[in-house]
Amino acid sequence: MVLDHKHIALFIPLALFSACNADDSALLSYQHTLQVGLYSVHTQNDTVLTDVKVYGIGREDSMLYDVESASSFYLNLNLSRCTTEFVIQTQTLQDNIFIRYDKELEPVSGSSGIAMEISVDSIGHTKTFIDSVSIVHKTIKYNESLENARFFVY
Amino acid sequence: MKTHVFLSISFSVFLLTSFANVAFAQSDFIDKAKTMTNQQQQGQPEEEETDNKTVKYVIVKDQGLSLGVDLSPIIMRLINDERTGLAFIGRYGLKNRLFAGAEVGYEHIKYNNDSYKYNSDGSFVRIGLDYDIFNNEDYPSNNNIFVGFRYAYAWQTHKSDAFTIVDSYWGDYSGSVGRSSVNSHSLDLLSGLRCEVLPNIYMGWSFRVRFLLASTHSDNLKPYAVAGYGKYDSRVTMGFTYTVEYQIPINKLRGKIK
Repeated sequence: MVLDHKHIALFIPLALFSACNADDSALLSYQHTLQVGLYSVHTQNDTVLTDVKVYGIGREDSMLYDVESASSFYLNLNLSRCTTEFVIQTQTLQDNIFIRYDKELEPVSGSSGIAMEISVDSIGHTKTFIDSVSIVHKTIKYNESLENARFFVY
Repeated sequence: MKTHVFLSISFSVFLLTSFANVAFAQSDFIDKAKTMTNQQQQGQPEEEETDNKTVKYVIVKDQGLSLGVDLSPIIMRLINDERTGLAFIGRYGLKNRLFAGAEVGYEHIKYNNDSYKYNSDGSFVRIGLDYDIFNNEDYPSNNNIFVGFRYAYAWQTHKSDAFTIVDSYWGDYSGSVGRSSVNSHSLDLLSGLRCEVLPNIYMGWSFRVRFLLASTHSDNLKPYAVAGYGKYDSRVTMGFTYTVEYQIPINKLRGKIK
């Protein structure tokens, strides 16, 4: 009786060993973007801006966004610096935002590569149509899709 | 897939051989125990009849120092050739059911592909206690079923000689990070078994739940894994050991039944 139990017991690790070695080959999406949601300062609900253009300062020749309307943005942070500045235009209004952050390299796996984990320190802005900014999730990691900041607009 | 099949077949054959040895070793042990019991009873027949007491036996298992190797890093190497490791274990019987355990090991991680190169060299030491919960009076043996714990300290250095992160807007980000050190503390809670497959030769395994208690590293590069623990970004990991041990036959108490 005891020997039978041993048979089972000694085989358990084999089964689990095989099961636990699934290949983790999911490719990185190389996310290093700040996910921003737009909210109305009056209602605190999500809102939409119209005729929106967004570009990074230093990359005026390349628009991140040039759309009729937007309720959220993905802002690519410059990995070679610890501050990235953007211009956000809606109709005839314009605000600048300044994002400060720390960054740390993070090896993910042999097949997936290396990613940058970013921790947002602060976000500054001009106040033409943006009333305030709050950081709701300061860490930007690969494979995570979380709203990092909320922009409250008039 | 082929590696998995090969490993499964190899270990199945290995374990089946072990089971046979366990069977022989156990039946031999039981025969010896019965013989000793009969001898004891034959030597004191009158006392048995007059006292009419139920005879109780306390199984005393072999005690002493055992040394061995943990095969799990070698198995992992077959699965993932980017990780190379080696670990040795030691066990010492403090009391009949209480054992002190120690483990030392080394792990090297090397990733080298188009997007990045990463190297890590780490060592670890674990110390703790095991308690043997296996005490079957009907089938006395030297086999053990353990529950226990290990405190682990790991130290390692790592670096990235080159890396590139693709960025379509600001341009790809490339660079390198020099060698820096990582120090980590963790705790293993374990459960497993150990069988005497040949005289003084034990084989066993344990499953472990590992908790990363603390870790320090430089600001610019996170470790991929902590030596002897697993992935750094997980506060809790699962681990296992597959061990072969030799028990030094000093202070052997084989077959001693009180």
